[in-house]
Amino acid sequence: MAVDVKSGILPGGPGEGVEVLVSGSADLATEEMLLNIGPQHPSTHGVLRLVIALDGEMIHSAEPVVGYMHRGFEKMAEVRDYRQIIALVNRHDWLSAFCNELGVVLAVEKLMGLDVPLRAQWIRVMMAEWNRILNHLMFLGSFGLELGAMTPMFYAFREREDIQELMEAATGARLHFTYNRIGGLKEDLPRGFMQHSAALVKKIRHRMDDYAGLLLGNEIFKQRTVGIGKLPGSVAKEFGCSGPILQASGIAEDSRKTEPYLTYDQCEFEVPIGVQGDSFDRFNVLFQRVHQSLSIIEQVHDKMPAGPIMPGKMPKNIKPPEGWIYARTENPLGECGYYLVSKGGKEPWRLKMRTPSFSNVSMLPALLPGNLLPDLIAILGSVFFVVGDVDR
Amino acid sequence: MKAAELSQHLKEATGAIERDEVLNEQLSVWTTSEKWVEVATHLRDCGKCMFDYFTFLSAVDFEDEGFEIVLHVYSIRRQHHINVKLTAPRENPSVPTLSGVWRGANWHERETWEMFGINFEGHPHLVKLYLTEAFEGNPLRKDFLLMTREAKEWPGEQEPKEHAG
Repeated sequence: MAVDVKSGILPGGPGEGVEVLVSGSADLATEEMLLNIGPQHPSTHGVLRLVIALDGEMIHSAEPVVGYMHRGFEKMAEVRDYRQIIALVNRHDWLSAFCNELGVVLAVEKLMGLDVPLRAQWIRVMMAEWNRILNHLMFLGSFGLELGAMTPMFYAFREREDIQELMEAATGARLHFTYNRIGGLKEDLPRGFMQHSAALVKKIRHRMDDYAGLLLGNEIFKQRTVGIGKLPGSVAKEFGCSGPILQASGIAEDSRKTEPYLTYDQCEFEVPIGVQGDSFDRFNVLFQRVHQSLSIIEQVHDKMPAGPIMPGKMPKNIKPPEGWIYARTENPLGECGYYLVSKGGKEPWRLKMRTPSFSNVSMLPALLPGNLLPDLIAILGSVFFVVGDVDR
Repeated sequence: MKAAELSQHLKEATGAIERDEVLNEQLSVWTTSEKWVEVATHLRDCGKCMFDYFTFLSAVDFEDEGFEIVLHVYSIRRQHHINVKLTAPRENPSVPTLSGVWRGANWHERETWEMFGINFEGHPHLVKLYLTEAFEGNPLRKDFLLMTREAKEWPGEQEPKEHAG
């Protein structure tokens, strides 16, 4: 907490009312020091390294060093056929597996001109939203943990377990769902899924109130985050930041709203935005996005039609015609896009992955300077990213 | 702005558009490396374009036809997309940097540089992003084979029918 040294009086405690004389200048120049944070720091969600130039406790410059998890997905995609790529892409951001595979199948389907059955589209919307909540809960919990609060992490994992069980019932997997197929889905929902899903929406909504009480109204949490790490909207746009980071800076960009894919145009929801673009706003936007997702899932329950989940006639080999396409989806962490170039073969000629975390982390050198070292973790935790998504 | 309108506007305003194509409702325009920065600056500053959101920059290896550098930007205000493309020769490909236009281009250019060996003139910090300093070669070039593929051809190369036979 900042203490007003100019008045010479320290508030609170036995010293209150005692004059304190501060000699010299507050911005005393000291020697610059280089500090390495990571690559094995718990707050970096993976192996991200930051090289920070410090003057006292003030950050002068920050340079993220990435690549510790580079696995060459883009190269691997060039020697795999489209069915295999679905299993490949849900691994770069392991917290939003379903949304990743969705981007690839949308790109291929659009390039091939395939019509996806309506039921499959609605199921995709529902699963994407469940995956979004699954992802956001992870960050809701871990951000609290980084600021010293243990309980949210345990709560978040309790809720994540419920959602993972639900998604496992339909997809057979807990993390890497691989539920999408080009043209539709692997299989239909199991019997009783909708009832479970509806009950879980109520449960999660109720428990979100606990989080609000634990964190949003928490004085210590606010002291650590309000006004810390302010990111202007213009800078966020210039670096291509997306998702909660962009929205917290006051820009209501969400491709579910601006360029609706699947059946999002038939769902009613809001894009929550922040005012200041500080750490608190970023967290708050993430929080509000969970509520919007819950509301979308309820609408899907009401609107889910009956019918097939794969088109009646599918080509034996998936061979999109020659051409290129950029398909983007609003992933939990922001805009995930796939630039696909096809030469008419069974495997893509080039698959460029435009991942949200890459752009978000590349913005750090612009955001961190001028902040204090103790605030670093609070800022880093609020720029939600997954290192696998940065490195690909 | 509609794709056709936007393309017409760019042709008139910059005079640097060689050709354009609309595929899957997405506009691509081709320019030259001399006009690369000029076109990008126009896209950012022009009131009709207002491309304020840097989406990505990358390249595609078209083997004998050289490299195609792809810049994709989006306008949050005007809600339109554009692909700006540029063909670079296979020998010593080099284009001016865009990191002065959108700062977000910085990392994307570093990645494209190490993956394709395309030089970005005037880039402030052109060092490897993902690969180690000692790494040789440019992995995303088509003549760079994956180690497993060098040893053994991809088994999925066969059609399902051939495999059964």
